[in-house]
Amino acid sequence: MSVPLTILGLLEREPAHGYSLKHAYDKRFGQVRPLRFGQVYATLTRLERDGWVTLVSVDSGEGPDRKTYAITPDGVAALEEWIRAPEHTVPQAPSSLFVRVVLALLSGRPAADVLETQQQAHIARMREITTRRHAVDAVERLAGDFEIAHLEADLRWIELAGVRLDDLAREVR
Amino acid sequence: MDSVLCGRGLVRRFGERAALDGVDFEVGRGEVVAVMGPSGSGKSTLLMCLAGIDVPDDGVVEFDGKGLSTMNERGRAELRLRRFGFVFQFGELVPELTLAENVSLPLWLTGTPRRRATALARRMLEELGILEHADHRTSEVSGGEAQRAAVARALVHRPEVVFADEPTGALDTANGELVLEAIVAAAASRDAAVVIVTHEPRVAAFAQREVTLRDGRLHEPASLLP
Repeated sequence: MSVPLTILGLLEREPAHGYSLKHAYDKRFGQVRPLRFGQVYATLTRLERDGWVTLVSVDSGEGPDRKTYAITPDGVAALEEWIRAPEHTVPQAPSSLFVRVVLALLSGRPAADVLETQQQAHIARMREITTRRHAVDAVERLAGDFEIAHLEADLRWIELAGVRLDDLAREVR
Repeated sequence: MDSVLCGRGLVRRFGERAALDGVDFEVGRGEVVAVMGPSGSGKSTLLMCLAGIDVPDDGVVEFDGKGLSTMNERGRAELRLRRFGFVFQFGELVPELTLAENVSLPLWLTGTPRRRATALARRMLEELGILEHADHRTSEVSGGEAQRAAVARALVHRPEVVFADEPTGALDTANGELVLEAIVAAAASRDAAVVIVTHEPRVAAFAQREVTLRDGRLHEPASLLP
C-alpha cells in the first residue's frame, strides 16, 4: 500500500495538519500498522516537494508549529490515477506454512498435524473477527471481511493439501 | 455448561463402514457448535442420530436427560416436531404455500390456532427481514430470502435444539451471513442449542466452538495457547 497516496486521499476531503492525518489514517487503515508521526511529516514534505500538496497555513501557538496542507490539482490527478488503476497481481511467494508442510513431508514428520493446528488457529482468528462484527463501524467491518476472505483462501489450500497428503508423502520422499 | 443434548459412544455402521465410530458429543442451552469435516466424514449421520431421525447401532443420545432410544418412533417424531427445529441446505419449503404459510406449518401441526400461528409466523419473518415477502411463494423470492424463511420455520415454535445441515451451502457469501446471523441470534435470544453441520470454516466461525469429524471419530481442537 502506498502511504503517500493514502495520505493524499485523506487530504482531499479537507486541508489538515500532520497530527490529524495520522489519526485519520490509523483509524481507517492503521489497525495492523499505525503510522509514526515522523513518517507523516516526512511524507508531507515529500508530497509538497512533488507539488501534490501545498502549505496553506502555519498556526504557531504553544508548542511546535502546526502546518496545514491542502491537496493540489496535480495531487488530485495522481490520486485519481492510483484509485482507478487495478492492483497488479503478482506471483504469491510460498508462505511459511507451505514451507513447513513440505519440510514435514520431507522429514517424515506428521504434516497433517501442521495443517490441523494451522486450521484451528485460522478459525480462531475468524471467530474473533466474526464476534466483533457488530461492535465496529462499516469500514472496519469491511476490513474484517477482507481478512476473513484471505483466511478462507488459506483454509481452502489447507483442506486441499490435507486430502492429498498421503500421495504427496509418497512422492516427495 | 449443562448439556441439553448429548451423545455418548455413538456408533453407526453402513455395511462394513462405520460412519460413526465411537463419538461423544454435547451441546448446552444457548450454545452454538459447528460440526466440521470433509464429505463422507460422518457429519450428517451424527446430526441424524442426535436429532432422532436415525438410530445409532450403539451408544446413547440423551435430550433433556431422556434417552432417545427408550422412545418409540412416534415419541421421537413428537420430539422433532415440538422441541427441535431443522434447517437444511435447500430450505425444503413447500412451493404451493406462501412464506407465511410455510413458517406457520410447525405451529399448525402442533395445534396452534390459525390466526395465532399466522401472527407468530409474520413476527418471525419480520425478525428475519423478509416480512414484505410473507404472501409470496418460494418461486417469487430469491434463494437467500427462501432460506431465511426456512430459518424462520425452524425457529417459530421456539425449539430447544436447532439442527442445521450446511444451511448456507446454496447461498452467496452475503446471504449466507444473513442466515447465520439469524440462526445465531435465535440461539442467543431463545436460549436454544444449535448444531451446525458444515465443511466451511467461515460458518464454523459463527459458532462458539467447533468439533471435527474424521473417519467417524471426533477431534476437539487442541489448545492453541502459545
